[in-house]
Amino acid sequence: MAFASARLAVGAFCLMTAAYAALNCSPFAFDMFIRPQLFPWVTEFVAWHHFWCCGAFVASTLTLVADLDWRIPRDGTRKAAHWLAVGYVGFFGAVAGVLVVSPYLPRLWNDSRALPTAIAAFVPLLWLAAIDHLSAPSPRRQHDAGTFRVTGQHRLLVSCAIAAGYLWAAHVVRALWQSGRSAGAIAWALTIIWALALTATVSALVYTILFLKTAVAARTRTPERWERGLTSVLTAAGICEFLRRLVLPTVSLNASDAAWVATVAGVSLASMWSGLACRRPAADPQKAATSSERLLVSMPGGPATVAALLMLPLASFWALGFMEQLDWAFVVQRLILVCEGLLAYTLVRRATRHHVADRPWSARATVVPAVVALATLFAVPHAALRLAAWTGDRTLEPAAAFERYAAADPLFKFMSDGLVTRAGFDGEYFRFLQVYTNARGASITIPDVDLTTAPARPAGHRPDIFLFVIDSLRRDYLSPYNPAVSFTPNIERFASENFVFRNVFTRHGATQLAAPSIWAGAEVIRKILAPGFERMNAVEKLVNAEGYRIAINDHTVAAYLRPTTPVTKIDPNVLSVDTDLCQNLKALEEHLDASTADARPVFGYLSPMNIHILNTRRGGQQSLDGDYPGFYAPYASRLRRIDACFGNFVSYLQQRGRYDNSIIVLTSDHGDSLGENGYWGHATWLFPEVARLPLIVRLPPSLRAAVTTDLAGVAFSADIAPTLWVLCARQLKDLGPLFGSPLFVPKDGRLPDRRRDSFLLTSSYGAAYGLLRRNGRQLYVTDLVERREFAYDLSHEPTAVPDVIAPEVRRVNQRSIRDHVTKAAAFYRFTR
Amino acid sequence: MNQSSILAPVVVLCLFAALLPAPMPLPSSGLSQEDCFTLADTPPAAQSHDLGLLERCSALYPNDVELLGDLATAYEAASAPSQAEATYQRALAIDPACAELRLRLGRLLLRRGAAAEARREAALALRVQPNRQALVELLHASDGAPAGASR
Repeated sequence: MAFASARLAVGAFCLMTAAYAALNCSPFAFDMFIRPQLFPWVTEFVAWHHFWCCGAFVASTLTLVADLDWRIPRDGTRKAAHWLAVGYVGFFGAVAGVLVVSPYLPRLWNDSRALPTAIAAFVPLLWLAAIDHLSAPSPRRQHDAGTFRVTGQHRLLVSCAIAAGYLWAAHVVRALWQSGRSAGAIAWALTIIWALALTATVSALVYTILFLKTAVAARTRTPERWERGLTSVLTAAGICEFLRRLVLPTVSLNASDAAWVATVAGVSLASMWSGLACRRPAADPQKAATSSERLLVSMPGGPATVAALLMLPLASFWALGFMEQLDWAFVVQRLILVCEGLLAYTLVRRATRHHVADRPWSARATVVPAVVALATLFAVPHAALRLAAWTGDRTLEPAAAFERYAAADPLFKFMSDGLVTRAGFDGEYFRFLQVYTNARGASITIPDVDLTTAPARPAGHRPDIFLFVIDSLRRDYLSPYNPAVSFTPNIERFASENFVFRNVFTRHGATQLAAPSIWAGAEVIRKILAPGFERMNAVEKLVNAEGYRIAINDHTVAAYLRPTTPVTKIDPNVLSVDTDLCQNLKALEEHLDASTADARPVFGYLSPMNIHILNTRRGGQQSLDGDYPGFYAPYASRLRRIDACFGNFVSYLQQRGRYDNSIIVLTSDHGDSLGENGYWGHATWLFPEVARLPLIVRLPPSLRAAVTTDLAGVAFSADIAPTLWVLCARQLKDLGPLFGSPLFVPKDGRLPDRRRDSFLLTSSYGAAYGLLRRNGRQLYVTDLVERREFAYDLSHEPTAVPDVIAPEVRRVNQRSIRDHVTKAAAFYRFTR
Repeated sequence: MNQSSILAPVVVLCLFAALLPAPMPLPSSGLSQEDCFTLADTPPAAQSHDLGLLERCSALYPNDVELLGDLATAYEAASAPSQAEATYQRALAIDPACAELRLRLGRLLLRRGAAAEARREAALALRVQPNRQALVELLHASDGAPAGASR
């Protein structure tokens, strides 16, 4: 037990080191997690990495005491194991010593060292695994001796079938319990049968692979060694594919780096596990019936196994529920489901060990389960489609019905994501987008852009400008947009006197690109936030051209303002995740009161994170002040507090006589998924609730009377910068569709007609691209992380449901997305 | 186990490889056409106002407001004001906040003497596009007042 614990601790250390280095490989993950030191425990781990390294070295050395003992006579492989152990202690002792003298991990950066470091972190595991395998007893030719038999086909089949049926039933009950069968009995019945077909298909696939493994092993002269070896190879391949397909794309690691990291991790972890199994003594060699059983986790038999089997779904459901809001792109939930499946299989095999007799090999038992499962998998959606056409009930159409069910059953979602492809999947198109998402070594040239060429106005009166960009603020959580909301009375009052834009979107999901887009007044691309961003920072240029002074609390763009720009930082010592609108506004008021002698107008910019998912999930996802039926209480309660502080600030401006001389903009950088279809957060997807924004604008009365606008026209947060230029009486250049348009024009002027235009939306972090058409009514999304596409009709509020994608819709949207991406890449001189 | 015990699972795995991932079947309307889907991407001035094509495409995409607007304009150009009015109404039932369509409908209504209805359209449109000169003029025209007065 102590041996296994020590080795697992060493494994955890190596895995964390590799994971940290792998995150450094990805420019996105580096900018998002590493550089801002988003997770304090990660920062602590890195700071004390040399200390943990020494601990791991000591722990691993203790597990090698027997192999290091020079007094024991050895020959053959055991002698090799002894010398490998000596080499391990010498080499890694030296490495630990060097790290103590000169810690390495804190100096790791997003550069060429990251990938080799991630790979090198697995070397100790491979080395230890080699020692374990060499020091294990030599495999006997048990097959010849008659003491060894490969896993029987019948037992494999029964174990896979029972485990699959058990998991299917448990997850269906959970889904029914949680969702209340709102879709109708027939739709539910069809979906449940399809869930069974999916589970049966996975089970048949696993069974076939396992049976092939045992069949191959049985044909060799050393079946135990072969079965164990093949099991390890399968495990390594499984871990590799899980990491390569499901984990690493979510942190935007490019394909070749992901393949390297995933392969080395898969081989290392499987070797470690196999080595530990070699070390584990079989209590009764006669009972250790098969080699693969020795590789399974040790479990007591009898009632304890049955009890564990009964507890397994409950533990899994608890873990899934706990992780639902904390998870990153379903990675941990999928890992939980994989573990649940493996454990269910292990326990069932253990429980049925003495109850299922082996039978002679049968071709029928090999082919029939797979054929039946596949036939059901294909037949059910077609039957659903025919039923939908026959009854005229569109809720029975498989794409819609299964999508609904997937939100309630993560196992179903996981399996259908892997086993079902949506029509028109185009690998070439996906590869094209991938190139523009995370190409290693890619670079851009930030152009020098001026929105206007007109000369500066003579010095004169300018209104103050206050731009509040509330991180993750959803429009449907504000009463001006949703009459069911009762917790934002101050914003409602503010909206009733001002312009409420009803059809606003961000060009970019998540802050990293959304905030620069607001400042630049344009669609931007990755790597835009770098020295040189000031060349296209339209808001900063306005500030300097019109003689404003900036008062700002921001952790995205503020670092890239020119040193000569007059900037006062509000709450500069508060971490980004702790930024609070109430505290910011108090500090801003103090700043305004203290600088009344300064005649320059103020440009105030605050981007607080009160309702960011990092905060709504802190404190156990608790409401601050009670229930909010129909709303997510941790979010709504924090929004109520924001609303009160915003109302107080408006009162402050009124009391100081500044209100009628202020342009006030209340908006957000992006929205947020709050459990819609099982999604939480906004990092790597572009669902409607993430793309849509609130936008409420107050103009001084003199300006208000002179302009017109289209409150229902499609608009973007990137329109704010050109709008501010126009409100400062500047003429804008026509810079093309990458740039925003003014929200206001003179009342006899021509409003920009964008109803027929299409607009590209991109995620800041994940490889997700969207196309917005028809005045914001149609949203088409290509999600490369999930390798899926969605089409939404946004005219149906409040919650958009993905439509079935017709072939021409797919063709037109994919073509248009390609076109937009190519144009943006050309504008920013993207090279790789 | 004999050689078939290896061959059988290999065949089954080939079956899995050939059939998975399974395609999700879609309802086939047999009507959808790319040309219609993108027809209203083109601004009306550049279109030939092929009434037949617009009618056919509007049947395929009955919720495409821009397409309906173009169809209504084509009806107006073809001197079919009642059909134009009905088409504008259809478009506005889908997108009641489209001020441009309300302006065009209001002008059409005013031409046929329905001043009160034209006024209503102008007033509704002004909620979406406050102060817009063209709407203010329509409002005043439907009131019988001289255009150009401030609101």
